Amino acid sequence: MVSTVVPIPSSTPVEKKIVSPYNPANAVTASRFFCLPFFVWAVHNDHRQWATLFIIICGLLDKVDGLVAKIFDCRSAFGEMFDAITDGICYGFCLIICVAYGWAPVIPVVLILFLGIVNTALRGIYAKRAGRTVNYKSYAMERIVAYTGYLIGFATADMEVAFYFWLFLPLMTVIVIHDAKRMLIDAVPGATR
Amino acid sequence: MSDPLVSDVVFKWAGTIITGSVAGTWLIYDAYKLLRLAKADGTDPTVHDKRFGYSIGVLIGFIGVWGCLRFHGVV
Repeated sequence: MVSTVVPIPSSTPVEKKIVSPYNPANAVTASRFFCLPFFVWAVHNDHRQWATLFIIICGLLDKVDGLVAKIFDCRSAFGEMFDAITDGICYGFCLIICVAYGWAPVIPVVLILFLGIVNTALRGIYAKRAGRTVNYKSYAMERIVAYTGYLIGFATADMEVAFYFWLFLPLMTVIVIHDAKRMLIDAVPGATR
Repeated sequence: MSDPLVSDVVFKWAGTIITGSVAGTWLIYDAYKLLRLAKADGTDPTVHDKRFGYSIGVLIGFIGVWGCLRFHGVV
């Protein structure tokens, strides 16, 4: 079983805590994937309200996993990465489904997915620069990811779709450019290479 | 499973409340956190990232509220 070693705050800085990747927080994160088939079923059958409900559940589970990690004291670098990857897969997949069924505009979604892939690549480079499994903490990206969850809800609820999707793009572009500078150029705290 | 779960009017208002309340709270909370950082050292990368993130949060909150108003034909 692969384990992730994370430092815990302590008066003795060398003290480390082993956190198994098979913990309750990661189980909650993984459970978000179960929302996807139900979401596809709802969109395919033109059940807008059910589709909205499933994306809300998916978004709420994203909030619950952090809470569970705190309660069970099982926060880890792997968990953070897994959470970010799950965000990308779940939201990316739902956006594609919305476009496929004509519930969301094509051009903004293609550009959003492109920026998402660029951001993922930048994070990979950042982890390589840091020499360890680490997720760059971007306060702005945390906010735009939440907005992404809402975007899918706007598409399923047919709520000001063009307005919300087109305004999302310039925001995400600015954030990716800002974070690119931080991840590629600025010094990495605690880099081992 | 049947559709719809609720009437169109309830669904429309549920969407508005879920979006508007979160966006409004977000706007105020991030604006407050941005103000608290006014005197912080801007050369510190973490402070810079927080300022940028909270500014984006304020913008997103504003867009959320604005969209709700548009949805109901207020603006």
